[in-house]
Formats: sequence, C-alpha cells, structure tokens
Amino acid sequence: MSGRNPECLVIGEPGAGKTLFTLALAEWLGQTQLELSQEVAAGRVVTRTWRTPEAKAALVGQGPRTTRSLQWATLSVPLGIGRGRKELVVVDSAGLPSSVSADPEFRAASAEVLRQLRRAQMVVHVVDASRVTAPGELDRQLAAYAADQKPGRYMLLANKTDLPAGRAGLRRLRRALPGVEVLAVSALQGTGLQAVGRRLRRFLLECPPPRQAGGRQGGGTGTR
Amino acid sequence: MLIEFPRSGGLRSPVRTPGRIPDGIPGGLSPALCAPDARPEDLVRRGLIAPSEAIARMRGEPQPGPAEAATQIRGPADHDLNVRRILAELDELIGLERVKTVVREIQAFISIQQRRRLEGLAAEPLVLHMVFRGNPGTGKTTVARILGHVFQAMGVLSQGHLVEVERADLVGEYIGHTAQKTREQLKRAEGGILFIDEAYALARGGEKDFGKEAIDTLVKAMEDLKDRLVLVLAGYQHEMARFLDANPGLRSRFPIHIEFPDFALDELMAIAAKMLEHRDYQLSDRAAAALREGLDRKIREGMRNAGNARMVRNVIEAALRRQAVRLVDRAEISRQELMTIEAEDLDGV
Repeated sequence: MSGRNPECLVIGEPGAGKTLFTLALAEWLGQTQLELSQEVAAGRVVTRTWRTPEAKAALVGQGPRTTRSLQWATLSVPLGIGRGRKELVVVDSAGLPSSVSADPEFRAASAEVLRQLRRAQMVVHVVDASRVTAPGELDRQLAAYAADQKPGRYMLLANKTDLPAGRAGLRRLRRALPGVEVLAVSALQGTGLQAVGRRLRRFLLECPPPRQAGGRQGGGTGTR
Repeated sequence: MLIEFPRSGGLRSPVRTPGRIPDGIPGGLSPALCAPDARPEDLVRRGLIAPSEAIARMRGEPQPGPAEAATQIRGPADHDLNVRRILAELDELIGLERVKTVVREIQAFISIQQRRRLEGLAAEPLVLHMVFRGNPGTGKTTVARILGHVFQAMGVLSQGHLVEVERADLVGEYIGHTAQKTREQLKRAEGGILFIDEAYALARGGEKDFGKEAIDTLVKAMEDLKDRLVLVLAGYQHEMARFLDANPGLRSRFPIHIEFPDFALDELMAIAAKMLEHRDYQLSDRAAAALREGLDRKIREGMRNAGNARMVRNVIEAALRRQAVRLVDRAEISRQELMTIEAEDLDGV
C-alpha cells in the first residue's frame, strides 16, 4: 500500500457489501478507473488497473466471501472548492465470520484484517441492514471497539437500504446501537455516499499532511 | 528434475510455514492455555476464538503513545518495508542462526552500497553469486528463495524468482547441445536466481564430459548477465569443497559462502511442532516424548538425513496417516481426537 497516504479500512461480516461499497465510492468520487492492489503472498503485491464498472462485475460476488484477502486502491478525494484534493488508501477486506471458521485460510485472512483494524487511521464498518434482526455480536463489538480506539475516525454504514428489509434493518440497527451514528447507504445504487464523502473529507482535513501519516507496518505473512 | 517457483502440491518446503510456533512446545495440548498473552489475531488464526471475541479483547489494548506515533511519522519507505517483511519471513525459519546473520549482512551491504552510490561515493560492485553447503533438507532452497525476494525488493534483481536445476537440466548429449541447454536455463533464470543443486555433478565425468562445457557457459554468463542473474551452487559440504578446489577460477567468482548445518534435536522438535500447528494437529505429551526419543536415536545412530527437516516431515506425514487409520472406523470422534497425534501413531519412528 502507498505507505504515505492515510488509510481507511472497510470492514464487516461476509456479504455485507464491502467490495461493492469500495468500488461505488471510487465511482462516486469520479474515478472511471482504479488501480487495485492485492497481496498475493508475503511481500508480493499484484496491482491491476480496472475500469470501475468492470471491477464491479469481476470482483463483486452474488454471495458472501468473494473477497478472500486484502485489496486496496488509492482514491483521490476533493476537499472542497479551493482546497485541492488528498489521496486516501481504501483497504477492502475479507469478511469477518461470526464464529470460528473451520478453514485455516479464512482464519488467516481474518487475523490479517484484525491486524489492519488495529493500525487503520479510519474505519468504515459495513453492515448488511437487510439481514439485521438484531445486530450480531461481531457488529456490536466492532462498534464498541471503534468508540474506544478510533473515536471520530469511524463510520457505521447500513448497506442495502434500497431494499425494504434494509430500511427496516436500519431502524433496528439505530435502536440497538444508541450513540452510534448509522449512515444509510446503498452501494448497489450509489445512494448515501454524499454523507460518507463528507465525513471522509473532514477526516482528511484533520489528519496530518501526507508525509506524516504512518507507513504500513510489515503485515507479516498470510497463511496460504 | 526441474522445480520452478512456486513449488506445487504437497512438496512444500517444510520450514517455510508461516505462523507462530505454539508456546510451550512440545506436546502442550491446549495452546490457549500455553499462550495467555498471545495477540488476539493469532488466536483467531489458530481457530481458538471468533473474530468478535478478538475485537472485544483488542478494545482494552493501549493506544499507541506519542513515542510510537513519532516513529510512525518517520516511517520507512515502502521499499524498506517490503525488505523487512521478507526478512521477517526468514526470521520465522527455525534455527539457521548463522545463515540469518549472513543474509542480513548481505542485505545491509547492498543497502549501504546503494546509499553510497546516491552520495556519489565509490561503491563496490555487487557480486552476489553464492555457494551453499549443507545436507539436503537443511534449508538451502528455502533461503535461496527468500534471498531472491530480498534482491527483488531491493531492486537488485528485476524478478527475484528461483529456477532450480541439476546436472541433467544443463548437460546435453552431443556437442553443442550442452551450451544450448545451459543457455536456456540461464534465460529462464534471468532477473532471478539460478540454483544449481549438486553442482559438483557437473565435473563428474572427467575431461571429455560435457559437464565442463556447462561450467564454461555458466562462467561466461556470469560476466554477460552480471547485473541480471545470481548464481547459487548448492550441495554437500565435502563434495562442494573438492569441486571448488579443482576449479579455482570458479571459487574466485563466488564471494559468498554459506554453510547450512544439520538441525539440532530441539530445532527438529520445533520444526515438527510448527508443521503440526500449520496442519491443525497437536502432539499429546507422550507422543512428543516418543518423537523426541525417535529423532534423538536417529541422530545418535548417525543416520544420513537425521538432522534435516525433510526427514521430520516424512515422520509427521506418516503419523498423520496412522492417526487416520486409528480413528477411521470409530463411530464417534471428538474434535480433540481429530487434532491429536498419540504416541502409537509414531510407532517405528
């Protein structure tokens, strides 16, 4: 990853819509194409340039667990008239399962996501609102963790609010997590991204200039 | 035999496996109890807690203080980060302390020469051809592969891949065939490392043998491809020494010599534990004792290959099969039983 630009981790359960959100955000920021990097093995990073719609078709699955490892892209975020732009590395992650996975590969991927969570400057937590009857343990713990460890640098997105079930889930989510601001989005339709963009902008204006942002620490080796 | 990076299938190099060595080896049955201070993500990797539990534990972690934040500000370039990441992989290998030191020396030397060049100071030319001496299964290929990644990350080699060859891949059957075959392998290895296993086999056939032609072609390539290829000659300690003595011109072209000693008993046990952990198995206390005793006996009997990781892997894989046979007909098998290797699975080690 860039090593110089601030990083924003996109995190959540499998199938929450993290990858589609990441790509929708790039699109909303006006990027018709993006360079997506993936760490295929320790220290070996593969970068591909995608046209954004093609990336959606290729990288977004119909079911959960399409994204198996970290992938990241540098997005250029306009800071407002006369303030120029700043670059933000958006790190899309493999979904965190709600229980212990039997597959060592998934467990290794989860471990890597947790390590990224610790060091991310900004965290975007995506929840599939259409499936929320009550927020699961993972989502509760993430919200609580962010309140303690990432104050002011955390967003909870209720995704799939284009669906009626999603809108109902959004209400339940807000009721269950008082004190946490829940933003309604639909990554599929690109709605609600304005509010996300506003918060990203605020975060980028507040965070130190690019050279002072922390570099990526050695992520260690993934078990593959 | 021609093995290209990455190796495929079950023949994974045994000491390469990432992941923590379980604390309290050998034979501890409950890793969770052995490592109360393990990081939450490591417990997730080992399947001991769910991610939500890990996040709950991370809540209480101290936030980075000002000192830590300050070091982050002066964070190293990506380039160095990659190198450090690769060196961390080297550090995960069990034993090989002397080898690790030499690799770090090489890395530091390259780094300093690059910095000197930036400052306009005289910089030593980088001649990185190497001789690896040691028994099979002592980590030579693994270390060569890591060095390839280090050189690539440092910009010394463009690809950093490893092409592993032996005599049959280089020596042909008629006049002119050898040079052609050798050049083909050199071409494949361009930008990376050409690793010649049992290199002394090239000099085996005497004066009329085509092996000599292969050596000549290699020597010429070392000049022509100076900046684009690293050559590693590997093989048994004594044979290699004799080979280089007989070819003094060759010796002077290989400035770096690394010795790979056999693994000691404790190291073999740690390797076994790591292999098992990677496969989600554990040794019972009695099995650990039996394994230790068996390995110790092999070393004392002076068995060839006794001190090497490949032998450990064979023992472990045989044990996994025996455990499977022991359990397969049972009506009920617990998770613990599925994970545990008992002493009887190690019979005949």
